[in-house]
Amino acid sequence: MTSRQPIWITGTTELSPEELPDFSDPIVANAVAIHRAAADADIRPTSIDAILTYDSLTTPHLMQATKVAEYAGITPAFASTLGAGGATPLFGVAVAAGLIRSGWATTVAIAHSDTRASLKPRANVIVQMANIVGNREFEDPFGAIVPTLYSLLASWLLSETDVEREDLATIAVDTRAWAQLNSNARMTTTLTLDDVLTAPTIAGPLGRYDCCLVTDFSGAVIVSGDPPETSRNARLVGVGGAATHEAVTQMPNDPLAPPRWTAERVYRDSGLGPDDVDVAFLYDSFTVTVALQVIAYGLDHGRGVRHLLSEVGIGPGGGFPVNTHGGLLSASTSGIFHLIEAVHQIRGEAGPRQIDGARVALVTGIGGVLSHNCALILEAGRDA
Amino acid sequence: MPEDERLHGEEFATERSEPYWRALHAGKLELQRCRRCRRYQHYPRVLCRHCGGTDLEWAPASPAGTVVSAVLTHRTSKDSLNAKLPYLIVLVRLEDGPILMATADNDVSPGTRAEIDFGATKRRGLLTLRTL
Repeated sequence: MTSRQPIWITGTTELSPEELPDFSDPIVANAVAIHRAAADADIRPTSIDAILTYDSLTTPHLMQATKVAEYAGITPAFASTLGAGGATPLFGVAVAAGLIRSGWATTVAIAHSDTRASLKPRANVIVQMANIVGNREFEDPFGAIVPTLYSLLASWLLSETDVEREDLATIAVDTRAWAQLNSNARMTTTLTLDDVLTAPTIAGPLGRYDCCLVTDFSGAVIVSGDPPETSRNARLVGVGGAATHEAVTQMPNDPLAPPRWTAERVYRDSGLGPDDVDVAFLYDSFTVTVALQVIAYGLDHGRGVRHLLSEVGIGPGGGFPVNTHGGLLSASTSGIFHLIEAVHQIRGEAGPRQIDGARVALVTGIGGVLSHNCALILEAGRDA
Repeated sequence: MPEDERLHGEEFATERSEPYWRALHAGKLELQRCRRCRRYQHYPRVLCRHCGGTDLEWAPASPAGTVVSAVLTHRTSKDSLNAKLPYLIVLVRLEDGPILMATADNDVSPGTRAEIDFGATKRRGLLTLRTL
């Protein structure tokens, strides 16, 4: 038996770049973010009965969520730190929905904060992340950093499809254009195609602007089974996931299989399809990550990534907006902000970035090297 | 194996993976194969990733395959490789199934037929491909 009790994202918060230095401990930042998200949801923080966090890479803690609950003065029934890499915040929503539908929790807070930019020297975080993913005996000796691993996917994509280097660059340019409309985005200077194509190469086709930022950040959301008072709110209507491998050499024969399976599952779960999606929040660890998902989720409607980018348009004014907050490429480094922006769009609270009539949002997150994919579909609530 | 002849990564060798390294030093490729489903896997495990079987053997494998992707990296996580930058990192799908990470001279691209160059592998200390 499957319970289909409605699940809502009722509160969100993002700490601004200006105030982040005041909360430089990720545990403190998570506690503050949860209190603010609770205020946004118009609930008392003490009514939160489950806390789910994604641990800090720079200052990991054995029981981070429990420590966050303690600091925040909340005594939930459950507090757990989840680990699905970049898919974690979205997987948190899936877990929250399960807890709520089982009757084991009513109100779940999900938080992600980290101090990746503050860690000195800066290069350490890149090397540290390279050492997390892969296999120390058979892969690490080649010195691949995470951009190199995604560049391996880019090399495959560019040889197997008609996607070209310029298409990847266009994704960086359009994402930056969105970031220019977001006061919380870290990179807001205008980026041209030429800037992207002539930037220093990191690995293979991927240059500096094809890679996500390394920033400090803090955000939280509240997931609840209680319908919000306003009718315009974000309801969770579909979840899908696929965890196929961790190290890149262990990926399926079809490198696109993990996001394809995730797409099939989230569309089946929601009863919706690519035609129904008004706005997409695609995990953009790298420009190529977006291109791969455009194909896997059918967002190009079979016409190819270039058609979507040049004929439809994913930037401001385009026909199919993607990552309207500026994504990981230009805003900041957590996938929780993809989710938060999706809620903003559905609520009609995205300010200068607001998409008229945004009712259905697809949100994706990816951990590892296309390793753990998770997708949610949110829809504007009708029957609160 | 004297320490200065070890290949990179071999310092993490275990009893389970030692046959792979020993074969590589002898100029051969040996990979773990499942006696039940007859399929190969790499890295070595206590069970078969394809069928879950636990009766595994070391078997000669073809050193030839097709390049899946090839990337000239301009950054590395290894200080010891800084002087080699930029260098190629390649994924090759072997005829026998598994994908290996390797390096190569700069004339490989996706679709290229290639095989392990055992001499170059020993000289560089890294699994190295040459085109076929």
